[in-house]
Amino acid sequence: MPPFDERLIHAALALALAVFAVSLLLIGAAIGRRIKRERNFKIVDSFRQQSRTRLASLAAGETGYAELLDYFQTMVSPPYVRDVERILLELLSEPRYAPAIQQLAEDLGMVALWQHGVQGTASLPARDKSLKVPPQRPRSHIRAWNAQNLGRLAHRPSWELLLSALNDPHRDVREAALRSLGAIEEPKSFPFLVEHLRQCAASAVPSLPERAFMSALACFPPQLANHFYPLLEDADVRVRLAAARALREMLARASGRAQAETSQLSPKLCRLVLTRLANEPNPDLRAAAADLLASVGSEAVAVLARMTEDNEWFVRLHAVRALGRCHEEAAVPALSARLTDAQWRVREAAARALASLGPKGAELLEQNFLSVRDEYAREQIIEALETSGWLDEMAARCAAVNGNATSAVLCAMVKMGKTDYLELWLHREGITKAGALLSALAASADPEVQRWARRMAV
Amino acid sequence: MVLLRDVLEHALNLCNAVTVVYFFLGNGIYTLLMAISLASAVAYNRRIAYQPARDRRSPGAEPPLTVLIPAFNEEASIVETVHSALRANYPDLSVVVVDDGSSDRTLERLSAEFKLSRLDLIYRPVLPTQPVETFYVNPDSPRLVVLGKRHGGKSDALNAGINFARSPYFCTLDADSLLEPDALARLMRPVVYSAGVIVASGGIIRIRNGCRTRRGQVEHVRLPQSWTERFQVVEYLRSFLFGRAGWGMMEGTLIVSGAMAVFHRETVVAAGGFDGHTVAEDMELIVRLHRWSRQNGRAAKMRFTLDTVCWTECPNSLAMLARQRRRWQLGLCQVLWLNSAMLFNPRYGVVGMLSFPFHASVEGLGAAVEMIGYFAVLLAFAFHLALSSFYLSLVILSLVYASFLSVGAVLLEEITYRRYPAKRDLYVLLAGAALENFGYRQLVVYWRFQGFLRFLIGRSEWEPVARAAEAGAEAKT
Repeated sequence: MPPFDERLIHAALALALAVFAVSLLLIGAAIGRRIKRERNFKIVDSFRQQSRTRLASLAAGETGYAELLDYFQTMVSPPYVRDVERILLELLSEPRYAPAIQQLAEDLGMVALWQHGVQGTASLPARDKSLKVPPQRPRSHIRAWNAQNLGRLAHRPSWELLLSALNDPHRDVREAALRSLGAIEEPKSFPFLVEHLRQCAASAVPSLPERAFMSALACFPPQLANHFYPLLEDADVRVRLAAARALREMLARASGRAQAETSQLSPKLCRLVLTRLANEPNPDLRAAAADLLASVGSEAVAVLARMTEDNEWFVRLHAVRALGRCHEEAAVPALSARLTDAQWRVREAAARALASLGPKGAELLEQNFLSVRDEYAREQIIEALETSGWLDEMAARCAAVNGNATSAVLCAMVKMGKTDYLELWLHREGITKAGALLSALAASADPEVQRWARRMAV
Repeated sequence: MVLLRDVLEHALNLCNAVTVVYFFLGNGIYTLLMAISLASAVAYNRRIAYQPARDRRSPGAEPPLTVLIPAFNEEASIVETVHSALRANYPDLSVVVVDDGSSDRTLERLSAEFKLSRLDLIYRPVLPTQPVETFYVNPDSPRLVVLGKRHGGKSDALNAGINFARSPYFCTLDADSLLEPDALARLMRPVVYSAGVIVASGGIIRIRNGCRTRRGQVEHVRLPQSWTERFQVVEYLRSFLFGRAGWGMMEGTLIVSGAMAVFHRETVVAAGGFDGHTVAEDMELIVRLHRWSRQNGRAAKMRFTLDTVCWTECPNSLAMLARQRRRWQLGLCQVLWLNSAMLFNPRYGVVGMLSFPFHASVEGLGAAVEMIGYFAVLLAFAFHLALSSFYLSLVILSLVYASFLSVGAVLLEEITYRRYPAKRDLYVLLAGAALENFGYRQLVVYWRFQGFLRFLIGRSEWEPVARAAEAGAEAKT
C-alpha cells in the first residue's frame, strides 16, 4: 500500500475516533441534563404544590399574608428565582389568588426586577438588593419576558414604563410591551396607543404591525372609542383604515362576538361613520365602515342597503353581513335583492342573513325561491334552508297542508335533484308524516316529481 | 486478468472519489444545519416564553382555518383524527373530511360518531376533481363537513377539499395523524404575526406508535416497542429538528410534510392546486409554489415552526417501511426532475442555489452513491485490492459521523422540547441514534435505491402503506 493512502487511512480513522469521542460527550451531556432536570423538577414541583396550598389557605382566611411572604422569601434564591416567577404567573390563572400574587410580586421585589428588566438595566438599584438574583444582562429576550410579566400581572403603575418600551430597538420587546399595555387596560395609556397606531399606519416601515395594535386596543372598553375620532378624519387613508379596523375590533371584543353588534358608538362617531366613512372612495375603508354601521342601529339600515349595491363585491358582502346582524325588517328588501348577486359569497351571506331572521326570514326565502329564476340563487336558498333547519318545518307543513306554496318549493327542489335532505326527513319521520308528504308531492303536475315520490314511497 | 484488475481498480478509485465528495458535502451541510437548528431552537424557545401561540385577548386575530382530511379506507383511524382536529384550540375552525371513494366503513364510522345527515350543499369546482357526490353535516355541529366523492387519489381529494373550503387558509392533515390541541395555533402563529402573506407553514411531526391515545389526544408519550419503529423516531427527530428547521431558518424550505401543513388557499388555487402526477404531492406543491411565486413577482414566504406537533403513525413492519421509503424516494426524484430548471438558478435565491442542489445531490442521488460505496467496499475486499483498507476506513468514518448527527438530534430534543418524559426512553433514543447506522441505515438506503431505480425506469405507482393494526391483520391472512 502506498504511504499516501496509509496517511489517509490514519487521518480518516483519527477523525472517526474524534467524532466518536464527541458523540460520547453528547450522550453524556444529554443524560446529565436529564438527571439534573429531574432533580430540579422534584423540588420545583413540591414548591408548586406548597404554593397552591398556602395560597388556598390565605384565600380561605386560615393563614396570614406575612406567613405566606416568609415562605416565598425562603424560596427566592438564585437557582429558583425564575421557577418562583413562573409558578406565581401560572397561579395567576386562578382569579381568587390574583390579589395575593400581585402583592407577593411587589413585596418579593419581582415587579422591580421586571421593571428594570424592561429598561434593560444591568443590575438592580440599591434598595432592591435584598432580592438575591444575579445581575441581568439587558438582552432583548429578557426585556421582552419582563414586559410580558408586567402585563400578566396587570401591574397598572407600570404603564408609563411599558409605553416607553414601545420605542425599544427590538421588535419582540415592543410587541410584548404592547400586549401588556392591552392587558393592563390603563385608560390613560389609550390616547398614546392611538397616537402610536397613527404613526405606524402612516409610516412606510412601521415599528409594529397593525395587527398587534388591534389586539391591544381591542382590550380597552368602547367608551374610549372617541379617541379614534381624529384618526378617522385624518387626511391619510392608511390612518383612517387602521383606525376603522381597530375600532371594529374593539367593538367586536366588547360585544363578545366575532363582529360588533350592540350600539356602543357615541353620536359623534356614529355621524362620522354614517356620513363620511360609508362614502369613502377606498373600498377597504367602506367595507370596514359597513361592519361599524352594524353597531349604529336602525338609522344605518338605509346606508347599508345602499352599500349592498357597491361596485366592489367585498363591500357588498360586508354590508349584507352587517344588515344580517341588524335584525331589522327594513333590511329585508336589500337582502332579498342580493340573493341573485353575481358573487357567490354575497349570495351565501344574503341567504344566511335571511335565514337568521327566524320564521319570517324562512318565509321570505321561500317566496324568493319561487320568484327568482336564477339557478344559483335557488341553490343557495336551499342550502340556507337545510343548514338552518327550516326545511324540517317546511316538510312538516307540506305534509300537513297539501297544495300550499311550500309544496311548490319542495317540488322544485326535487326537480333540481336536491333531495338528500328530504330523503333524510322521510326516513327520520314516522310513516304517517312521510306518507302525507309523499302524497302531497305525488299530486304535483310534474311527472318527474311524481316518479320521485312513488320511488320514495316504495 | 491484470487488465480487468486495472480497470476495476480505476473504476473503484472513481467511486471512491465520488463517495468522498458526497461524504464531505452531505455531512458538511448536515453539520451546518445542525448548528443553525440548535441556534434557532434556543432562540425560538426563548421567544415562545413571551410570545404566546394565541393571543386570547384578541378575538379574530387568527384568520379562519379549514382542516382538510383526505381519507381513503381509513376506518381504523378516521374518528380519532377528526376528534383531534375538532378539539384543536383554534377560534375559527372548520373540518372537512374528503372521503375519496372508500370501500370500507370510513363514512359509516364518521356518520355514526358525529351524527351526520346528508345535505344538499353547494360545491364549486375551482380546481378540477372527480365528482363530489354527497355532503354530510351534523346541523347541530356544522363545523364538520364530510364530502363523499369518487376515488381520485390523495391530491384529488385535497383539491376537492380546497374547492369546498371557505377560509383563506387551510391545513392538510393525514387521516392517521393526531393534532395536539395547540398545534394549529402554533402553526398559524407566523401567519398572525407576519406582515405579508405566508404561503405555507409547516411544523414538527412526531411518531405516535407506542403512545397512549384517547379520543384523538395523545395522553402519554412513550417510545414504541420495536426497534424498527424506534429507529424511525430517531430519523424523524433528525429530519425535522435539523433538516427542515435549518432550511426553514435559511428561507430554503423545499419540503413541508403534507401530514400537517398550512397553506394559503388563494395562492394554492392560483398555482393549480395539488398535482396527482407525482407520488409526493406535498413536496411538489411547495416547489411549484416557489416557482409560481417567482414567476408572478411575489415572495414565496414559507415558515417552519419548531414546536408544532402532529402525531402520526409510522410503519411497524419492514415490508411496509420498504414501501413507504421507496415511494418517498420516487416522489422526491420525480419532483426534482420536474423542476430541474431551479437547479443553481439564482432567480430562486437560497432555494435555487442551496436547497435544491442539496436535495438533488444528497437526498436524490445520495442513496445511489451510498449503495455504490458499499458495493465498492465489497468488491475491493473480494478482489484484494490495495485500497480496500482505505475504503473501509471511509465507511467507518461516515457511519460514525452519521451516528454523531443522530445523537446530536436527540440532544437537541433533550435541550428543547423533551417530549419523552421517561428516562428510559431517553436512553433508548440515544442507543437508537448510535445504532441506527449499523444495519437499519443500509436497509433504508437499499429501499431508497429501489425507489431511485423505479424513477429511472419510469414507474410511478402509489404503494399503499397499511396502518399498524391493518399490517398485523394482513400478516395473519
